[in-house]
This record gives sequence, structure tokens and C-alpha cells, in this order.
Amino acid sequence: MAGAALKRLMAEYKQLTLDSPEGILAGPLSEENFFEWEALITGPEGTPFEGGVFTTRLVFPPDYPLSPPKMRFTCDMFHPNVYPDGRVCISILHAPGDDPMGYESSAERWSPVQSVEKILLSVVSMLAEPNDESGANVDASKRQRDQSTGTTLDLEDLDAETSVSPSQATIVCTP
Amino acid sequence: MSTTDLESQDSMEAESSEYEEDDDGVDDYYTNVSDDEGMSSDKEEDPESFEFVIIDTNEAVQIFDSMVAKVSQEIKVTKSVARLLLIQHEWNTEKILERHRVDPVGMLVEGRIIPEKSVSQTTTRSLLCPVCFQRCAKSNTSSAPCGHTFCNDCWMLYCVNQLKIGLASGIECMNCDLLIGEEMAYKVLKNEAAREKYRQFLFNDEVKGHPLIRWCPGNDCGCLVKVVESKAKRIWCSNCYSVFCFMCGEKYHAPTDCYTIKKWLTKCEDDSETANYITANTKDCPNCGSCIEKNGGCNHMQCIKCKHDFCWMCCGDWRTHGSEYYECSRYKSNPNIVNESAGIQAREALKKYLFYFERWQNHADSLKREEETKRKINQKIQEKVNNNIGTWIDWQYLLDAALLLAKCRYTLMYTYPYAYFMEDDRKKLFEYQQAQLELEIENLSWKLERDELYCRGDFENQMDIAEKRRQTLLKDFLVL
Repeated sequence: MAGAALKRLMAEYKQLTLDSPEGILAGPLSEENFFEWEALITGPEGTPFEGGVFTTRLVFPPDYPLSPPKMRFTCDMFHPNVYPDGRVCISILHAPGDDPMGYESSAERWSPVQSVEKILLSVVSMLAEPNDESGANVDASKRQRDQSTGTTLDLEDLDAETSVSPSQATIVCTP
Repeated sequence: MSTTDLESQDSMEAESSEYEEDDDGVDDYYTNVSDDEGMSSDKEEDPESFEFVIIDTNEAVQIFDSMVAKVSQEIKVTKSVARLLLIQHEWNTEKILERHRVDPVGMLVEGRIIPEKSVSQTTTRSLLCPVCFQRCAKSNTSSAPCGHTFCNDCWMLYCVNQLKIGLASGIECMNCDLLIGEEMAYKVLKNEAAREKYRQFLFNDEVKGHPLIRWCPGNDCGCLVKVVESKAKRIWCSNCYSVFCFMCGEKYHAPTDCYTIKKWLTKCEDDSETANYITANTKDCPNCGSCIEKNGGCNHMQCIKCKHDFCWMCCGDWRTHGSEYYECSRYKSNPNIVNESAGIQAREALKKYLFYFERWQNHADSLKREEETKRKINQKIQEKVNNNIGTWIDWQYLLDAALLLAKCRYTLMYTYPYAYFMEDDRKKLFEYQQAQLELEIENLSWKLERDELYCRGDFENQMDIAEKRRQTLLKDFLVL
């Protein structure tokens, strides 16, 4: 089982190094252990996260890609869909059948044809368009709803309230 | 009394074996005898009679397979598809044929058997499997009708994984929600253990989907029961001897219906009556709110937690009672009236529940001692025979009486949950009949324990009355 997972992870790593989408960088922490990756995501333009680079950790199960990996931000992240401990709440990381918030369609959930690249792209779009329906961080969701005039978080307001300003994040996460 | 009449009053075992006898043509024999016509119509009216057969898994597999073969022939689909359709339509062949006549494509799309829009198949001889990222020959790949193609190794790992979470007929394509069906599952599952597991799970799905077949709920009993119509009737498993209700699989519970008995059993297990007891028999300390139960006669209470002294009657501070204690016995319009009435209500509810529960439990306990009673009777018979009072066969009626007694007690036990939840005006009639049955079986029980003389006639008369009462009650109140 783990053999198939390792092969697949190596193939994905190869593909990502050859041709990775803009703003995303990902790879195993060490060549010894292919089941733990670090991924860097640059904040999308026009969002409070613009200009920041955010570090995440991906942990793959032995039966990957049948089961999804676990993902968490290792830097501070104030976002409606990120738990205060950094875990990401996004439908692509949920296997069909387990639905913590009870409303995801199985089409947008994890399936073996998803990949690290697709997860990271989903997270980028999650940063740009938070979903305040499934609040993983209640404070962030509330702020998002209060400012429901726009679809994105108010940059200045967020900066004033949280320790994660884009500039700080950049400093924290520079490799 | 004829033999068949005795049988109908016999144990539960005897009653369920009636059907087998009926099959042997005993009924035909009797219908030719004019004298017995009244009796056979009595039998038809027996509110508990129910047609069923206990089958093993092989027989069930045969039933399922023959239906699958029939449908696959009629609507020209593979057996794999036919099986999925039958599971989805609760094995209703007519419904499938009807839908097939009206909208064959719609039925298959809705059943997640063919895609809404077909995906073009790759024509190259090899392809890159999107799951393991390995290039593999086309001959080593598979796809459901949706066209999402993956290598067989990935399919196998995926199917094994799905089996782990208990899916068989519900295994979907790795990229969409189309069902893959047994044909493909068997093709990709190379491991015999995995195939066997798939076969078992698929069989489970088949049973679950069939409204007229269910597993016997007995411990480790691998039998199934097949009925003619789905009703909350008594099933007696000839393999493990468990007696259960076909609809809910719980212990047989006439005259109470499945929903009510579930409510009752949950009530007996949960804590709702504990809460009622607390409301009815305790008061909260007016100072710290701790729950206090009065354990003596004195109204001067001291809270063990906060040491507050207060009066049990008015919940006021005890210090005010020094000179004018009898203030409490004088009627004042009660400012605490809301709380008080809640307490009274709770007390009433508790009383009602305990009333029914006590009687239910009493019969349950009596039934538990059934074995003991049987042993005692056998002993008694032995004594009688040793003392040359009658022969062994003469005294067998005592055992019959004990069996009938158990049967009546069982029914009576299950009348109490029914009565507890009963609201309408039929309650009076029900309680009357219940009391009648209660009386008759008490008589019988007394006779059984005390009577020393040989009075078979009396006994059989009493047994007949008790059984008639039981039948009348069931006939009037058994909800079908």
C-alpha cells in the first residue's frame, strides 16, 4: 500500500518541480520521508494576504491517494476557514462520507484523482474567497459577515486586529 | 378436545410449526370434514398467524440470483446492472419493468449506472493512470461507463479501501459518483479474500434492500427469514429459537406496535424518570441551589454544602421560624405556585410510569422463572407417578398449562407499554380486557402451583378461557 503511495508522491513531486503553478512551492521536508511535505503559498493579489508567503505542512496517510492528506498552516493565519491551530477546513481535504459541516457535495470532496497541486490551488482560492458558511475560526467568520458588503476581508481592519499582517508573515516565513 | 385444538394452545413452537403442517396438507384433510369448518375459520382469524419460512444463505442467494437473471433477461442488461437496479428498487421487478418501458435511460441515469453525458474513451494504446501517475497498457485498465479510466492496480487498492468502510454495491467511480457494479469489482479484485468480502457485503446489501427478507437477529444465527407480506408479526427461528418481530427485529411485542415498544424500551433505559423523581421528591437549597432530599420528619433543614438553615415547607429562612413556626401551615396564596405545580406534575408522571413499569417488570420476572417452574412441575409429575397416582402421560397437561401460562404472561407483559402510551377512549375497553386476562392467568397460575388433585378437566377449561381472552385482546388491539 505504502509502496503505491510513495510512487505516487514521488511522481507528484517530480511534476511539481518541473512545472509548478505560480505562487506555489511544495516538496517533501526531507528525501527520507516522502509522507511529510512543506508547501509555500503566496497570498493572492487584491486580498489581505497579498504580498505574504504562508507556510503549510502536509501529512500524507499510508493509503494516499485513497485518503486525503492532512494540512495545516504552520504560520499564524486569521481566516474563517482555518482553525486557530492552523488546520485547514476545505472540502477537497474531506473524504466523501465525512462532512464536518454537513453541506458539501461529494463532487467537491477528496477523490484519488485529486492531487497536491489541486489542493494548493483550492487553498489559494479559499484565501481569496473565504466561505463564511463553515466557520472554522468563529471570530474571523463573524468579522467576514459583519463586512458582508464585499466578498473579501477588509485589509485595514484585519491589520489592526490581528498579528498576522502580510509584512509580518513575509518576515516570518522567509526561508 | 381435538388434537389440533390442543396444538393451538400449545407452546409458541407448536404454533409456528402449524404452517409446516399446513403445507403437508393437514388443512386439506380437515376442510373435508364438515364438523371442523368452524374451527378452521377460527384458525384463519388467529390474529397472530403469519406465513414465513426460515431460509439459509444459499437459498437466499438462489432467490436473489433468479430475480437478477429474470430482470437482466427482460430488459436486456448485464446481471451486474440488473442487481444494482433490483437493490435500488427494493426488488420490485414490476416497478423496474414499468420504468424501463417509460424511460429506460432516465432510470439508469438516476440509478448512477450510466452517465448523463458520456465521456469520450481514450483511443491510445497506453495511458497515464491519473491515480498512480504510471503509464500502463490499455489492456490493464478499466473504467465504468463514465469513461474515467484507471489502471487495474489502482482500482483494486481503491475497492479494497471501500470494502474497509463497508461499501459494496455502493462503490463509486474514483472520479465521479457512477456505481461500478459487481462485474467490474470482480474483474479488478484479484485477491480471493477480497472477492469473498465483496460477495458478502453485496449479499448484505441485497438483504437490506429486500422488504420481505431479513436476517434473524439471534446471536450468530446465520439464517434469514422470508415472509409473504411485511408486517409486525411474530417470527420464530427454527435454528436459534429466538422469537422476534419481523418489522423491527426486536423481541416479539404484540399488542404494542414497533414504534411504541421502541419508545417504551428507550424510556425504561434513559434517565427521564430519574429527572421526574428528582423534581417530585427533592427541593433545591434556596441559598446555594444544591439538590436536597428530605430524609427525616423534621422540617428544619440544613444544607450540607452551604450550611444554610431553611424550612422544608416554605423554603424560607429558618431563623424566621423561631417564634412563628406555624406560619407554614397556614394557607397563603403561594408565590411559588409555578414550581410547586411542576413538582406535582412530575410526581404524577412518575407515579404513572412506575405503575406500568412495575407490572411490566413483574411479568418479565415471572417469565424468567419459567425454567424453574417447568423443573418443579416435572418433579411433581415424577412424585405422582412414583406414588402410583396416574401415569406419566396423565400428568403432561400440567406442562401444557405452564407453557400456555408463559405465553399469556408474555402477551400481558407487552400490554403495559401499550396502555402507558394509550390516550384515546378505547383505553377503558383495553384495560377491561387486560384485567380479564390478568385474572384468568392468575387463576391458572394458582391452580398450577397449589392443586394436588387430578383435575385435568378444570385445567383445560381454565386454559381455554385464558387463551380465548388473550386472542380476543389481540384481535381487538393488535395494530397491523
